Amino acid sequence: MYVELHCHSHYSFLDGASGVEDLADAAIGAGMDALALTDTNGLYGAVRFWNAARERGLRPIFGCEMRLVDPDGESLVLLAQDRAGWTSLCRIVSAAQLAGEKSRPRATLGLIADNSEGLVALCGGAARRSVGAGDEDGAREAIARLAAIFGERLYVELVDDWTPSALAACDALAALAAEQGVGTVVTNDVRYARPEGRRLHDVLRCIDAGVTLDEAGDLLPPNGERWLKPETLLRERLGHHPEAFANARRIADGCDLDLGFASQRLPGFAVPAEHTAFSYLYALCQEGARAKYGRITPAVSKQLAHELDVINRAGLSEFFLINWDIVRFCREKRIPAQGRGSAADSIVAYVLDITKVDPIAHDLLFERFLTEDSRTMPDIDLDIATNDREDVIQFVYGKYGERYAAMVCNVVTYRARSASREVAKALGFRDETIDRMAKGIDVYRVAELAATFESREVARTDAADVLDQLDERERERLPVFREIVTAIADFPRHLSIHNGGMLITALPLVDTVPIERATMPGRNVVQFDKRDVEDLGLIKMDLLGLRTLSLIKDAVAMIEARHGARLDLGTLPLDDPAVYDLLCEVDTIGLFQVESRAQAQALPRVRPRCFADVVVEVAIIRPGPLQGNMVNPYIHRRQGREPVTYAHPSLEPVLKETLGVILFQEQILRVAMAVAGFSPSAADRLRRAMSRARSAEDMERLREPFVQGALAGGVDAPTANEIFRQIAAFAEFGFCKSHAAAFALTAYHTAHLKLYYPAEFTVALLNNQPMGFYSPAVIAGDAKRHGIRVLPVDVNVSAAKAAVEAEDSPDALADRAGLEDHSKTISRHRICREHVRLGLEAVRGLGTAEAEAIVAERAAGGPFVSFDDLAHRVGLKEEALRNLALVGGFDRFGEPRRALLWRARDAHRASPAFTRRELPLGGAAPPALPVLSERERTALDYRLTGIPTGPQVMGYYREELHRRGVLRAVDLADRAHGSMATVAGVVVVKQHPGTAKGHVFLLLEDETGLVNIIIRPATYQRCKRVLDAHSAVVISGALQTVDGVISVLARRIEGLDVFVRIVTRSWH
Amino acid sequence: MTRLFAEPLPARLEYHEGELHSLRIGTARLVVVEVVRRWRVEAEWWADHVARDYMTVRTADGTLCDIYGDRRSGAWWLQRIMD
Repeated sequence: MYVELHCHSHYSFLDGASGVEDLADAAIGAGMDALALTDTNGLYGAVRFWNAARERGLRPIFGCEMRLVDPDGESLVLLAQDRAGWTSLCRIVSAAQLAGEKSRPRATLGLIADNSEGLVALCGGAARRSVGAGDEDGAREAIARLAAIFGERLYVELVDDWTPSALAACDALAALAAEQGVGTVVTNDVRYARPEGRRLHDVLRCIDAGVTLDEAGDLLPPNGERWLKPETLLRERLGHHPEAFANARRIADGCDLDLGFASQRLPGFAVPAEHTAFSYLYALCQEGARAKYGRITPAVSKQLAHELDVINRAGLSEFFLINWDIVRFCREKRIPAQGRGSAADSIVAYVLDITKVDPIAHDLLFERFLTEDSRTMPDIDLDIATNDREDVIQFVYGKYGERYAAMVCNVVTYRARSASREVAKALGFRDETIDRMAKGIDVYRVAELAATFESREVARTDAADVLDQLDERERERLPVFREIVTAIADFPRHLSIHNGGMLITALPLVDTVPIERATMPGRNVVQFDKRDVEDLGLIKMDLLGLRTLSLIKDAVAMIEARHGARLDLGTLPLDDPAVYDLLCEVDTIGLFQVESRAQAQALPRVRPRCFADVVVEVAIIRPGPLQGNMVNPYIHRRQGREPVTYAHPSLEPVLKETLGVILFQEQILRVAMAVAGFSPSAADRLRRAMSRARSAEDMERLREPFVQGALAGGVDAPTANEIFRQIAAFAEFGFCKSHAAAFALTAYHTAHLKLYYPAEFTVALLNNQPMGFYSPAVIAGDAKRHGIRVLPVDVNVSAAKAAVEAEDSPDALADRAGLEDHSKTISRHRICREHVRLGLEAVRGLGTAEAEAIVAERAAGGPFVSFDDLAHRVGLKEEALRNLALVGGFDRFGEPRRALLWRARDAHRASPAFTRRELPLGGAAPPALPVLSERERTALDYRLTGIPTGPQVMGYYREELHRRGVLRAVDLADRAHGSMATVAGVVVVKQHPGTAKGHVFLLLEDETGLVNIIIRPATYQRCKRVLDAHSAVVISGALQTVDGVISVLARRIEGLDVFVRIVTRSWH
Repeated sequence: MTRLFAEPLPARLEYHEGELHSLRIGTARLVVVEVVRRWRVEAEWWADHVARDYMTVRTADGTLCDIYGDRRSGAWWLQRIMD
């Protein structure tokens, strides 16, 4: 039986038109029992191929096609026979990638000769080309060159690509091979699984070459024969080379390699002399348990013993020690770090301080994290304060060495927008069409859109606009466009470095995995992504940057500096009613996880009153559960509008905490254990299988054992099936409770900070931008509604970054009368008496270096006494001086801002940074200029810092709006549900979620707060142009007041021209 | 000498016991003694889709002919004669 040994997938970037799963299916369809994957210059697809092949009962063979630079033009296929061959492949690929530039590896024959152990080579590009050119000696030499390295492990490849000279070339190569005693092998040098893949392959080649199909000419193969053909078809033309078919079989049989690294995955971890890894872990856990719990209860002791037993038997002690060590480093350096994900299900992780949520108190399930017979490594993801993450990565590099530690990759895939743009270009669409398609259209609907074009069922939509302007050729090619854009979706495009995944290996990295250059200078990246590494059973740490933790670190440091008290958030009791009041009032701007628009809608309905409620809130308000319609049943039950029922009494203990609704992944396990009598590991296998199930058939295969188990336990068949349906529906979207709990804890900490230290919180939030859901302007508006004044930059007061200023400073004595308006939405006790002084860095044109130079000069030489003084003492560019003047940085010296502009240029020339000093300072006296109006100041704030220090812009229009009957955000609370209301504001958030069936949501900000706007699809189509053209709008519609959530269902939208530029944040 | 026809001539293929035996071009009948090579051209699928199976055949008088069958219509054409 023939086996294809030269096959490229889409991991031969832009030169392979099928995914590995597709190829595996096609191989089976063609009657093969094995298949080799041989992508160009890399092993990117190896792990996915390994999985796909094993799932289908196909034997995977691993290899690659190396394109050499020396001798130039040579290329050969290398196949790994065994583990040694895999190591050779990794070394060759890695060395070639590291010797070249990113995406331009440099492989040489010398490199291959040095690493040929365990490899079979198929030759090759150079010989074939020589034969084609009639240069038999050249071909002979090319074969001899490789035979000298590989001996009997070299085969000459016979490829029939159905070009006129193909068969003659095969015959000539076979004769030359025989002459030198080298075997031959048939391959089809495959680029796509099936004949129809040719079209996509041609388009990919055009994208790669930057030409259109019409321009491509000879760049494209003359036919579509490079698919995964069955033996019978190949034999029709190459049947006279029977030994070349037999050799394909022989080579395949000689390749026997399994990629699992589980037996050698753990790097050693040095422990004190008297300890083994396990005894050391045991001792650390005992110590940690005493620190965390004080008195160790029987429940704690039992769980700890159970987990340690599982960890010991799974051989994972060192894995925990490695994580413990990283967290210990963070603690010593006072870097906030905490485990997220299912690790928080583990008491061992908790007592080692890797995670911060007590799994006993919150009833978490260890088996979701780890069972004894888990195939893959458990996953510990660490969130680290973003500003300190690089230090932690360097610590790991330092500890394990660059030979043993590297970042994993992230495979960047085609998204609708990039696919549409590149495919349209290759199809020869005009630039203006390409732009229009990419800009004017909801990018997530490109494929459906093309369908609309075809069926001509186009209503007055954006699609119609694009359609109207297509020329004839573009119109004709739309079906092809649609076909290719759909086919190319999720194709890998290139690699980028993963945002935190770090691989640590026991054997040297280059012997285990292929690595290549990352874009970041001096950093390498593994050709495998996170999931691949996990599937290989290798150790991976996810060191993720979380800005919220930097916010917390900064806020805590400020609190300590200002109040002398070290706030230990880790020891806070989680039962502060004031925190829950704040959440129920949706005073959540800036809070972790619970600040989004969707959360703001849910909080008044869920009304969290304890920590478990926040855990639920975090878990359910996400696209998955919202789309899966799991949220409403829970909320209705919580509100008492729907009875709490259980499909079977055995579910009550499992689902009681969530009122009978499955909300957490852990509950899938518990349901399977309680209803179907599954063991914990069988239950977790079911959960994993469900979350990976791709088809209804996949799911059906899982049903039988579950239902059988349930019947054996006395559950009737309809009930068993209904319970299976419920968990299956949930498996796709579910969130694990431990992860939600870890995030909820951080959410609680941010709520505590906002409640008790609002000024420090706001400052830390502004200093860690960009983060979260809202722009700095909205954050500042929210601060103002809490009585925090946002004070302008002042060259004698401002630090480089924003800082807290106490009320008794002269500038901060505020007129507090305006706060009365907000008493309806914000509890009185949370009104603050400290303020935020903007930092110098906030001013456009001033970077960190300039800001710090001003501060340093002020510290060294005393406060500045005038504009000229600063200009003399600190070298600043003209733009920086101008902007600093315009936002009021020099106001304290009493000179009008405008007048300073005249001097900024001359002053810059006179500054130490400007070397030509011949121009005297002073120059022409400025003409008398009008003082900036308040309106102008506001406009400058928006433009130069993005943060208004004076009134919010809508305040300037209020009188006129009031005359027109426009209400303020704060007025809506008194209005009846269903009444008509008109509101106005700047659009600060625009959301077009895929889950909302075409609905669009806006948040409008006015001087009193935010208004939620719902726009139905038809209204949106009608008003889209107004929204695109205006950053402020007046909207009329019916007021919806449901469960304390207020929104306006837009009916009419008018643009409002405002004098400032607004940054709208768009979310999907 | 090679003659490439600007407008290929319709050809009919005649088989004998499964083997290509002769070509009929108009009224002429050329006996085929050998199929020298076969290849396939499939191009410009995005515009004027070309899908042809080509053969170079040697006829009894030693002439080489390039003929092709249109894969969609099934019709055969004589494109080139090499004396």
